[in-house]
Amino acid sequence: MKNLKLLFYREIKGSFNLKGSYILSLAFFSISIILLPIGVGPNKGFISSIAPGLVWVSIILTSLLSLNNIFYEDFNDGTLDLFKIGPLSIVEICFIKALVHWISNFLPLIIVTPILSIFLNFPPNLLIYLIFSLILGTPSLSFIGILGSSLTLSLKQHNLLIPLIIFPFFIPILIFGSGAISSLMYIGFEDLFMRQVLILAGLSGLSIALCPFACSYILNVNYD
Amino acid sequence: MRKLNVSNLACYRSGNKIFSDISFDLNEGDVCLLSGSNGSGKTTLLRVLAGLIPISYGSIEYNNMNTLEDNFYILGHRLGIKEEVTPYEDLLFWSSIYNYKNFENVLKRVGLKNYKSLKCKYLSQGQKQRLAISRLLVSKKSIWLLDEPLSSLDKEGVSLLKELIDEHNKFGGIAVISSHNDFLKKYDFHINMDK
Repeated sequence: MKNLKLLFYREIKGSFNLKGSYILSLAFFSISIILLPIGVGPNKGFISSIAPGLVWVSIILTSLLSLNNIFYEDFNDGTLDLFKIGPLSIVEICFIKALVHWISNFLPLIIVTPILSIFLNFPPNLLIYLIFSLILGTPSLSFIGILGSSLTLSLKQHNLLIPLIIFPFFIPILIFGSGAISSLMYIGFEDLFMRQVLILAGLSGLSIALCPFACSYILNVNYD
Repeated sequence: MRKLNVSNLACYRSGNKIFSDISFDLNEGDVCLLSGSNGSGKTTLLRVLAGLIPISYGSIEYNNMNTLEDNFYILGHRLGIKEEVTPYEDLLFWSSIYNYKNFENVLKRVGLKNYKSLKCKYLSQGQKQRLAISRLLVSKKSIWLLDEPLSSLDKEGVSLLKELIDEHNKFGGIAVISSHNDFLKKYDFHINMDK
């Protein structure tokens, strides 16, 4: 446990340094949320109606920017070698990597979402539900993301391949994430919202429980 | 008595033979020197020994176990040094991971005491190599796998490394070292990877 904490603090510090991908993620997400309504047009009602989808699509597209860096830098500079021969298990390393990716890349996006939602004319009374769905749904993006990152570790075209590999796995998260909020906006049916949010939580729970093991296996057979 | 037995080890990558029929037995306190031209498979052999590359054929046994388990440390070409951390922070992390207490003495020993607060991006390549050597010391492992450990080291650094290897062997450690340089006057086993 002590070693896990040490690794966690080291990774967090590394992620939030000036070179951290979180700045790029934050900038990309903000720009896309600001630009999308401009592109769609001045119809406030229409923008508001597609806002949940826009937020979720922007979040998913933003995640693609940072997923390729989860293991790549450590692999290139030899840190991953040191981790592999060290006392921490690869499963633990994969878990911490995904967790830190979520904290450094998705948490800032979730924090700025209430401010950016103004540009989408998003109903303020539903904001808490949107944040709730993002908190429950986005961990699965990081934990599924480490699979793509580890699969393409030694490939030159990893930037291109990661989105192709993990894109199908993101579709259910997008459907239930935006669907949950839309069901509240259009039907006002909290029960339907809760059901979809529970599925999101289930997907996150499943990916948190399984992906570090799958990632560890991939890193053992695909490490050359 | 610690014993490392390597028999008929071979490694193939994408169907191409990197090396084959490598066998040696090392007892505690032994040093094995790997020599050979570029591309002869020295680095690959060390990475196979470390378990970073799978064995194609043959076996590695340490104390009659089929694995080196947690008994080794590899110092390779890629040092795993992050530019934004200081040598102090880096060694603090690794010494905590390996439960090593007096890491500041290690920093002093490798000549980085005066640079401990400088970000690693400002260190010379030789200083980075010294930092990597300091991790070797805090790992407290009985088998050292050193891949071209002299790269970028000055004369003082080379004699320090020799001294550390001598100490390691004196206390029963095993070292497998690849080098183009004949800095080791004495070794117990020599493998020429070109043959």
